[in-house]
Amino acid sequence: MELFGVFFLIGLISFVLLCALRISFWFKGQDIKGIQQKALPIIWNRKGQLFKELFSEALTVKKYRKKDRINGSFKAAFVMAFLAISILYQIKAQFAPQLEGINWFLRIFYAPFVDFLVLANTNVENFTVLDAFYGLASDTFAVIVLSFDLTLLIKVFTRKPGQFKVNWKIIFTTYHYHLFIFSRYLAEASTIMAFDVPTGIAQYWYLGFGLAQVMVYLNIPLEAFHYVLWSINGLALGLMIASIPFSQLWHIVSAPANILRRCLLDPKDGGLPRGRSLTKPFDLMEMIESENFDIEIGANEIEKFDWKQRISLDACMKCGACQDACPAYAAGRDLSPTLMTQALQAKMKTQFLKEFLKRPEDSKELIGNTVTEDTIWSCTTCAACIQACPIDNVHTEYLMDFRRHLIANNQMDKQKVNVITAIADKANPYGLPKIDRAAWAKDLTVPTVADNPESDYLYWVGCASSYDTRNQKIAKSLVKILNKAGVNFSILGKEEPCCGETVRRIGDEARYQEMVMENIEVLNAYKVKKIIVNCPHCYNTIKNEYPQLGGNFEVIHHSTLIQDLIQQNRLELSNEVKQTIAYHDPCYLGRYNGEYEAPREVLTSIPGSKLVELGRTKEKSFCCGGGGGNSWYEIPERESISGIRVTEALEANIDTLSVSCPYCISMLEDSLKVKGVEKKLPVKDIAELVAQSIN
Amino acid sequence: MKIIACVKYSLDVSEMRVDPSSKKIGLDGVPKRLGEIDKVVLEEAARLKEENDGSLFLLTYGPDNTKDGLKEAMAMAVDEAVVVVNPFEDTLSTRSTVEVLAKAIEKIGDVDVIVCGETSDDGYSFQVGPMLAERLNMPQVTYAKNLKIDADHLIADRDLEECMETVKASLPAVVTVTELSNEPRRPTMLDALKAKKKKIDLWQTEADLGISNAQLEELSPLRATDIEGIEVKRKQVLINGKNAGEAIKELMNYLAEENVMGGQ
Repeated sequence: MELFGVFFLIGLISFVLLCALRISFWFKGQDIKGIQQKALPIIWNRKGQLFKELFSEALTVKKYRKKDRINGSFKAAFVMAFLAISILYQIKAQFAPQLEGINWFLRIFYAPFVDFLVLANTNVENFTVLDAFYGLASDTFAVIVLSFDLTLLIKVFTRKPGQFKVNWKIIFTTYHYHLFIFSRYLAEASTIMAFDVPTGIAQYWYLGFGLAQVMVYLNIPLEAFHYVLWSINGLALGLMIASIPFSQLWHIVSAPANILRRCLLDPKDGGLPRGRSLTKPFDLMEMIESENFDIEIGANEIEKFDWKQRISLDACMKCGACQDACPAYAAGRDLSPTLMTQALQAKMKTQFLKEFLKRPEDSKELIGNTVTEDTIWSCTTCAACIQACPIDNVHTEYLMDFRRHLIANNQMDKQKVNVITAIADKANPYGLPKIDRAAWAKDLTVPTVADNPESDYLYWVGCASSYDTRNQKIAKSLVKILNKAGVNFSILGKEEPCCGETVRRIGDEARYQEMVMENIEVLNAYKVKKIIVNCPHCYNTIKNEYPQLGGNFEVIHHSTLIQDLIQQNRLELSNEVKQTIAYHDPCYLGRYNGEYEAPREVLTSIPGSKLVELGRTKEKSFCCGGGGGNSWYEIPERESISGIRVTEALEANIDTLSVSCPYCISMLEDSLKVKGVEKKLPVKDIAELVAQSIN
Repeated sequence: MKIIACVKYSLDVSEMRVDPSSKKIGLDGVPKRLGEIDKVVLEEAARLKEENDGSLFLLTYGPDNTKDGLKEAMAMAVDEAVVVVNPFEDTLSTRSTVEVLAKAIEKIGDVDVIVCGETSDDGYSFQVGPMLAERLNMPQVTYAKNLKIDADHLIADRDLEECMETVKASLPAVVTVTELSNEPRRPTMLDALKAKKKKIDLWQTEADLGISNAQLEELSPLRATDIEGIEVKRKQVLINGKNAGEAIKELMNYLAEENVMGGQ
């Protein structure tokens, strides 16, 4: 066999072995039989969806194109051209008359170099249109690759301040295909020169042909090296392929695998398709029944991450999209989702490689070494990173596992102890008396479910709207709206507990599950079917996370309900609210539940109002900084997350900033007060504006 | 080293409301729980146990459902618990409580340190700790924090608000702590569930401690017949300073006049 074929063969063998090694990292210490039994049938059942997603997302890099149209489009062209050209050359090799006498198996390794044989052995008589097509395809591939590089370079050098810094060296240090591309066109040129290939044939290899003209003009005797150049080309290809498993190119394998992982996330397994609700790491009920509490909670070692989480870590290619979207990073907190994922990926690679090579290990502990406690608590779980990630990684999963580990080992500061204690003892994060929960409704007509068991809806007020004097106005406004529209509803009153969201997001999963089991009992005892919620955090938890513990209710956010009432003409919005209003999308209503339109429609229904959009809006909305338990503790930062958001709102030239989440109201109003401009920009819930518009 | 932590399953007074017109205190539906100060008691006792490799007994005197309120307390390094069931509906008097606790402590036996709260969350009598020390004829260290054992002595800091006093007492001793003595740990829910397997003994006053109901009544010549809310009027003074400096000066003068600033 020719030397280039041998290099390609060795490259392929190394690739397969190294690939197997790195894939083994995903499953190290995992129950492989269990995974097979559980995952394979799901993959088989969803093969249609899987192929569709592999095609539309992996092959055409859909999400990356959305983020970066130019670079993304070239990348998609590159990926598809690479795949097409690999297949085309394999087909050609099997049928090439120039390879007569070589068996089909060896032809596989000749495939990338068939051009050499075509150029060396073809004369004008037996040259076909198909041969010409291959020549054009081969050189056009190089043009696509180099164009992609060019757009990448442009991207690197035109980065805006604060954006993730992609180093220009990435093009040379990680993209081994350059050696392949350049050696190939030198080899093509030398072959054209060596065999005096007639112009009628050579012109189709236009890059090689052009290069040959230059070489002849410069009088460089490239023809003497044609065999060496093809061998170098073979070596380059072998190296490129062999290096995939341990270079940036690994995402060729890991990113499609990550799509496979995503297909496995099933609501029944405890996750929404996009991983927007937290997975249930254990079942407290089962533990209580079996009296077995000896499980390790959360993660502090790579081994504690399951195979799906490890695939996701491995699929990250440091594009920086998550960091650019992250509010915690923007506020100067010690959290960059990109660098965190990269650090965990590197730790997984080096730790398992060391174990494989039986080298002495460093500490396996992640907290304190790979991630800091500040990093772990900096996250607001706003899901901007998940939204931005081209491969749908769920960064919050890792942070949640770290939090669970810290809480399970009692490593929390006083602020976190206080909020958990308040919720455990008083069923609200403020630690205020249970007896005062329904005090806001004292002067209003609001029946409790005990008084009105036949009501159509239960209005779940939530802690923030029950206790926070500012946010009580939301509850009062909503009651005014519901009464006006003749909705038959009731509240739980003093019996209403905390939904458990804060406790869960802080990482006390066991307490959350215990609370929720009790909550579900209360709701079921009153035969509650439909629940109205005005807090997106309660909304997401009851709607998407209670089913994990057997609580199935129809949960309606007040924005949707008000929209319905307006559409059914049950609400007459008669008072003009002559204001320019911008709507701030709360993370847990928008990104988590995809509800962008209902609140906007409600706002445009108010006579006199004019709705405008903030710079970052809908799925790109910027967090208020209050989610994930962040309202209840402090984290070192350069400026507050809500401060960044109100600056954006103040520059938007609006009269009112409208939201539909009590946490957002508290955070944004606080920031406006800190800046001393609370009178300049009122923050109002959509219910308050609607209530203002009805008589 | 054997440590006993005396705690009380007390009314959650923050859930109590006084009817503004009748001045009656609404006690219906007010939940009971382990008091805030009792968590400090347990934390102090737990630290002492952990530092000296001892054993920790939780002792409480109350209604028989007290057991339900001990879920999280049991996860605070407690080894065993004793609930002495109160045969009466309510606590009769601090003296009767002290008698019951003393008998129970004698029954547990070989005790080195007894930790109590300076007072309970609901009754607010400030008497049980010191009376218990007298009854058991032990030295007492009140308002204690930073407990240490030095051979057969107990060393503790006494937080007297304006000064700190370090004292040494022979063992066995009774210690009372304030709410500020430490920051109690928060047991995780799983710790609490694991602690469910720990032993909680229910003792009866007559059968187990040999104290008859008549004796308890005899120890309680003073009885509460009624409770009533009183209204405390706030002074509601508004200082309208032109600038912050002036306003602060005015406020300081006012507080000095009222004699409410310590350490002047």
